Amino acid sequence: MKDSPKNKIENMKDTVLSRIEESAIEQVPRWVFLFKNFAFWAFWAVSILVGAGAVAAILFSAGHVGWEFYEATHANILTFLIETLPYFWIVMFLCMLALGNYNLRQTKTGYRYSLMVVGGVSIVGSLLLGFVLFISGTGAFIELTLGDRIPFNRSVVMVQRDVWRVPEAGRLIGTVVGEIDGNKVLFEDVAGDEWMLVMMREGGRDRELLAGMQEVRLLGYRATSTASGEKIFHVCIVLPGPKARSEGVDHMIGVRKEFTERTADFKGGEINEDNLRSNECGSVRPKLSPLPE
Amino acid sequence: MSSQDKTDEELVEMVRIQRDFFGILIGRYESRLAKYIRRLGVHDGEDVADILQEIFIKAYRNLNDFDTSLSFSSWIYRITHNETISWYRKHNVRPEGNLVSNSEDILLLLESDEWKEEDRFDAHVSAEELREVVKSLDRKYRDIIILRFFEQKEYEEISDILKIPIGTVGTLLHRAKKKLATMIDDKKIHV
Repeated sequence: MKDSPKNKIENMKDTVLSRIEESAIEQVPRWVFLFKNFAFWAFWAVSILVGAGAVAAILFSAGHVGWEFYEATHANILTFLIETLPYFWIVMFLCMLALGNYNLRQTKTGYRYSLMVVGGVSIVGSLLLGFVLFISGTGAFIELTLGDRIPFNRSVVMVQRDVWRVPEAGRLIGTVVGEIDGNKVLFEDVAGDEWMLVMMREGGRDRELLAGMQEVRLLGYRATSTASGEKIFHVCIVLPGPKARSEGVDHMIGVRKEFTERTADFKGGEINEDNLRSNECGSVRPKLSPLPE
Repeated sequence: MSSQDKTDEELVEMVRIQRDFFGILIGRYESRLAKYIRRLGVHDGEDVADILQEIFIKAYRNLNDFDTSLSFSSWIYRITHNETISWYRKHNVRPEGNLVSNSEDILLLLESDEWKEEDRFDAHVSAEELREVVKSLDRKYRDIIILRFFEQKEYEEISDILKIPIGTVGTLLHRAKKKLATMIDDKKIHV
C-alpha cells in the first residue's frame, strides 16, 4: 500500500536512512569543499593580480601619453582624453574587479560582506598592488610587451606615433641622426622616414634637446615642396620625447611647466633665417592662454 | 548524556562517523522544514515529502561542507530554501497562493514586536486579506518576511540562510515591511 504524504513525512527518518543505505550514498570528502573554497579565493587573488597589472599599465600609459603637451595636439583636454585613454586596460581593470567580487562572494563566508566592503577591498588591493607593479617597472613591461598584441588596442607608444607623427599637422616625433649644422640637422622619425630639420628659432633649449640624441617631439610645419624631393620640416619648438622609464609626477609637472613657459611667447618668435622669416610659427599650435603675471 | 541531548553540531560530528545518528537530526528538523517548505508555497503533501527527502539526502551527502562558523539550523534551512527554489524551477511552476498558510502564521506576523513598534496595522486585518498581500510581494521580500516573522529567525540567521550580508537583510526587511504596509493601506484594510 502506498504511503500517504502524511505518513511519508512521518516516516522520513526511515525513508532517508534506507535510501542512503540502498543507494550507498557517501558523504563528499571534506577536501572537495576545502579545495572549492580555496579555488574561489585563488581566483579572487588572480583577479586582483591581473587587475593590478591593468592599473600598472594605466599608470604607465598616463605617464607616457603626453598630456603635458595636450594643447599642442588636441583642441582641448576632453578630445585629448577621448583619443588617448587606455580603454583596454580600464575595461580589463573593471572586469577583474567584477570577477574578483564574484569569486569572493562564492567563498564560504564571502556573502557576509557588503558589496561596499568587498568592492572596496578589491579596489584598494588592485590599486596598491598596481602602484607597486608600476614602480617596479612591470607596468611598462605589460604595456610595451602586450599593448600592441591585443586586438583593437594600441600601446601608448603607438598612440604617441599616431598623435605626434603627423607632419601635415605640424608634429613630428623621432631622433636626430646627424650633427647639427648651423640651423639644420638630419632627423629620423619613428616610422623610419628621414627629414631635414630647419630650426626656425634661436632656442638654446631646443638645441640642447636635439643634441641629446634622444627621442624628441617637434612642433613646426612641413615645407610644401622641394626640388630634390627631400623632406624638410621647419621646427618652431623642440619638446622632450617620451622616456622608457617613468620619472615621477614631479618630473611630469616640471615638463608641463617648462612647456607652458616656453610657449607663452610663441607667437612671432625669433626666426633666424631671412628667407624663411614668416609668422608661420605663430600659427602653429599650441594656442595657449597667457601665463599669469 | 544521551545522544538525544547532544547539540546539532555535536550530532553532525557523530554522523560523520556513524550515519545512524543522522536519524536524530532528521527527527529534529522534519516538521520544521516541512512547515517552511509549505510557507514557501509548496502545498501538495507528496511534493513536500519529496523535497524534504532530497533535502536530507543532500545534507547527508554534503555534511563535510558544514562548519561551525554557522549554526546547523541555518545551514539546513539554506539547503531547504535552495532545494525548494530548484524544485520550482525544475517543475516550471510558481509558488502557490497560500504562502501564509494558516491563522497561526497570521498571528505570528501580527503579534511580532517589530510590527507592534511600527504600529502599522492591527489584528483587524483578516487572514485572507493578509495572505493576498503577502502573496503579491516580490520573492526577495517574501523570503525575508517568511524567515523573520513566520520562522522567527534572527538577522544573522537570515543572512546565513539567504547568503546575503546582514545589512542587506535589514534593508530588505525594512523595505518589505514598508511595502506590505503600503499594500495593506492601498487595499483599505488598515484600521
